[in-house]
Amino acid sequence: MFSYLFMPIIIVVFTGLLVLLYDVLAVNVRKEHLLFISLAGLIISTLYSAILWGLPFSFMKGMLVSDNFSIIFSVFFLLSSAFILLISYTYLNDNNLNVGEYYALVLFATAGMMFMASTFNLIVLYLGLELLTLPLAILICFKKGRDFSHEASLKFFILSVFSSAFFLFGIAFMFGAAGTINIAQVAGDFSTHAVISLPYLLISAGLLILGLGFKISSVPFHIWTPDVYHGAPTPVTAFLSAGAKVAGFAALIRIFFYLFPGIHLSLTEVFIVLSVITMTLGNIVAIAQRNIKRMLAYSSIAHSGYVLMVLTVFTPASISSAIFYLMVYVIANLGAFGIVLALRQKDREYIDIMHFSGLAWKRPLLAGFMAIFMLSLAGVPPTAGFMGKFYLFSVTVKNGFTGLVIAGLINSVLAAYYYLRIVYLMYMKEEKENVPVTLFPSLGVSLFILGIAAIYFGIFPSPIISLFKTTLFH
Amino acid sequence: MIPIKLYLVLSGVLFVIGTSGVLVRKNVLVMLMSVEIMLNAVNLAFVSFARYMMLPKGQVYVFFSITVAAAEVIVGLAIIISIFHKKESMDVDDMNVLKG
Repeated sequence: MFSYLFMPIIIVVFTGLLVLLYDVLAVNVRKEHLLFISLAGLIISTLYSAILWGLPFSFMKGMLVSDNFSIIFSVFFLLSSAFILLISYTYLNDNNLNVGEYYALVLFATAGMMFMASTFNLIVLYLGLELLTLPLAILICFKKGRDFSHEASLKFFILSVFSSAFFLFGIAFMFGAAGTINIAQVAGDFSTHAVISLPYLLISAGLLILGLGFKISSVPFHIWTPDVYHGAPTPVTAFLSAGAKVAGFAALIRIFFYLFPGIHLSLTEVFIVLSVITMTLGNIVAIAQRNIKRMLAYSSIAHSGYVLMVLTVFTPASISSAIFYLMVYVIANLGAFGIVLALRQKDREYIDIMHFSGLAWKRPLLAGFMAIFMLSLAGVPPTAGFMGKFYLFSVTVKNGFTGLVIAGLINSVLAAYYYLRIVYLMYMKEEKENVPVTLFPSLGVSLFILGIAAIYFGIFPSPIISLFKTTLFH
Repeated sequence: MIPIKLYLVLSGVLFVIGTSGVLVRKNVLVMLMSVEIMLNAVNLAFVSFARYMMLPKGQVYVFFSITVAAAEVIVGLAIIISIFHKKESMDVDDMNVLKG
């Protein structure tokens, strides 16, 4: 009878298997069918998740849970994966990569992310993390015959397994501290003053932060990000920056919101330091980048810093502002990578920022959308990015960290420089080199939807924010 | 009975050996082996905690960890082989196309 709780994840996994089987067994495989099957699976799973809204469920003592928090993140992952598939379709065709494995790996990674968001059990979370990491490592080196895509994959792989070992060690210490690795149970035991070894719990917290820090590319653990973002095929880079990072945050919020209400004091400073150095380093190094993929990599590091700012205190208000900010960031980032994908002819990509010069005169609509996404990432009104930052900063002030907000504001000014440079190049410069544009229907439609969303959530943010606020923790 | 601390010290020492192996060694295969040492250090910690607290579920977690480690090795070796075909080298210093 609990099986319908699993349904969203089961649908995603089975769609992945179906795509693989179809690619192998069917006579005359039509490549569109692979896309349609995967999209259908993702959309059905999204609808199923929506049905489960407001019906909190817990299976096997929290090994798998379905609450509003997990549903918001699941829908988030499913939709971003759907957009990834849509924007990558012709890119795959042009590079001879359009095979069932690509779709299956994206779907399996999505299932991994959903596991990460919908469990209280740390070992299940670890399995979800690995189910996300291993398909990603394969996806990064998916483009055969390129030196740096293999190199990026190896860097990603070694550092991922390295960081998951830390994460697992953290789980072991949690087990040693409390005799259980169910977060909700540990938190319950803590509040009733059951026997819990505090030193072990603190070691565990440190190791868990370290392991997840790699996933969200917070600063001491960010070294892999620019290289991997640069070396991976562009749709996979978009996937890394959207889904994979948000999954890391989902796990971080899940663990620390439920687990450490009692021993906040010792962790607040950790998050403050992480937040400030993450956003500062990300923004300063991003200014120097000439490659748009590397620039977006450093910008995504900086955005992790902003989100960490509000996670210094885990209250429902901070969590909902963090989720809203992540949503806004993903919309703009997917859009920006979509535009990068459009500047391409066959398998040659144009990823220097100078290639954006004069785009507005050649393709005004495309440049307009790029401007929206850049302004949204920079946090300029009336885009969604502004509302996201505004909400984030105001919650941080309410939490009592005015200094942190000042650091955030200075950083936003720094960040505006390199985002607006793209806008400046597009509108104010002459075209230097003839940069071809490949725009295909599925990319155009997704860019349109993302662009509208980036404006819509900037003008009407209150419905979705109040949705997060009122229903997240019931 | 040997106190739990000694097991944890052993596990910690193994973990540090693995960590330094990943950070110091230049050969990709040795780095992968060092990661395996780290994972086995974690398994030791799990098992000793489970034994100390008489909670057999801690030993069950080790099965999950071993399974994941096996999957990791498969993917890792596949990536290393495909790099080796191209570069005829396993040295991380030769993997310098991308500069972070």
